Amino acid sequence: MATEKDWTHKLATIDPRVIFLLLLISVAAPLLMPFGLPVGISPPTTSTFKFIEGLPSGSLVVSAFDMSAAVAPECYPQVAAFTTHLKNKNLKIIEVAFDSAGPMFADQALRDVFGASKDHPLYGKNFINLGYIAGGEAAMKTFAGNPKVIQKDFYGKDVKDLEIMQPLSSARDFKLLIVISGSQVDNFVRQFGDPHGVPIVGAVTAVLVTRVMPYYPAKVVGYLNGLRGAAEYEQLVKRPGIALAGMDAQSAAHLLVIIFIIVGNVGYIVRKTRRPS
Amino acid sequence: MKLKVPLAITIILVLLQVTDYYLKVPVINTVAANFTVAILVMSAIAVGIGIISLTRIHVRRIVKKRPHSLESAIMLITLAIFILVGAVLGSGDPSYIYMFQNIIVPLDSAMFSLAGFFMASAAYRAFRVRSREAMILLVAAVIVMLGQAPIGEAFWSGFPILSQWILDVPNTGGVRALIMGIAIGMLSLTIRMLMGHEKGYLGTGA
Repeated sequence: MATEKDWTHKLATIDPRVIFLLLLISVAAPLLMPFGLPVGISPPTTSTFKFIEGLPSGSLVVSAFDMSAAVAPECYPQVAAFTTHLKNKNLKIIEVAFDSAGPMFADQALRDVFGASKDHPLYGKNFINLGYIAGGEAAMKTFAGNPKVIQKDFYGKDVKDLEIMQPLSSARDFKLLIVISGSQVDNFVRQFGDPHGVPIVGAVTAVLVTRVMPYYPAKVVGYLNGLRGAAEYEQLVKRPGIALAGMDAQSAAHLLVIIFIIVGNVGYIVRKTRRPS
Repeated sequence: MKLKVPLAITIILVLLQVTDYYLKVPVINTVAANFTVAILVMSAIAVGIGIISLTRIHVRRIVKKRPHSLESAIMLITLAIFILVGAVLGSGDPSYIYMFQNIIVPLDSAMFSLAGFFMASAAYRAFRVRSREAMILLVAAVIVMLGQAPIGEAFWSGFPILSQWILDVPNTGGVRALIMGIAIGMLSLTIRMLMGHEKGYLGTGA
């Protein structure tokens, strides 16, 4: 029978601090010394890319920031990658936030991709940051019904005179809605997709992706799956960034967790078989 | 009367919003849109009430010298700085964005990333082959983990395909059922509200 000092007991009861330390090393080491594993492109990412590729130049695309700061390491690389694509395709970008943290990431995306936000000469013509609208789904409904309900942008400028806002009457004028979310896309499907027929793309955390998949491809034309989705998109737009760098760390962390699961089970099974029936 | 008036208001507003969603009647659509704007105003007011409530709780803790008064003081100072900078310069000002990017983002991300460490430890402890069902769960979890990271593909090109099948078929089927269940639940709740049977939100305990 297994004793307290038995190897099987040790395998089944590894100190959590050991797991924490090894996980830290497995995440940090590949970031410092990447081993550059190839990252394949998944069909939902390809669908997203192709849909944006197919949009005519000058089409209005909305980036809806429904993300908090907590999910930024996963979602922001996605934002940077698809905003680069929107810029390369010369599409018009309307950024709006349904989470209070959203406008700051929208601003960061403009600065990272266009080099400037409100001071850029194309601000108000090719892109705009409308800021945060409080009210959750009610805010989405209001914005979808009348995007001009917002009178001032994130920087306090009057939006009614800005060129990009002129052709807008309802969400029907949007050729694509990209939802950056750490919670769900269901409410966007309800308020933009179904009533106004706006095609939706989900740029979501890996944890949330299972909530997006039931809508794909009928109501959500494509989605980016967490950091992996961002890494795939970075390859498609030929802009390697933090997401691709993070893929090795993700690989090492996943492998470590699997090793621990196997080790724990070896200890558990051997102890169980040794135990008298 | 105390019950009937709020019930009547609820029934009218539920009918208004439901009709607005399905029908194109300009009068109804306009009235519903105005009520939705009212919700936005109330949401903004709720944020203000939240700040007042939060301040009261933490001020009381500091005044009564309860445990964690230092953390309360730090919270209040941070809150005051953010409100001051946001109100005076605007939340679109570079200094506000700088504070957000360098205080809130790292703290919030660090808090969220801690979950990864606990999940690793929990996976090691919980994923034990105690039954046939646990075995299926474990195998599926390992395949999805390998399929989602590039290392899985490096081991065997079939991992991403298998992983995608698990996500697309059994997982999506389950989540779809969940979404439909929620939708039916919401529909039945709406009908109960319309019929006046749902009174729990009025604080009657019914």
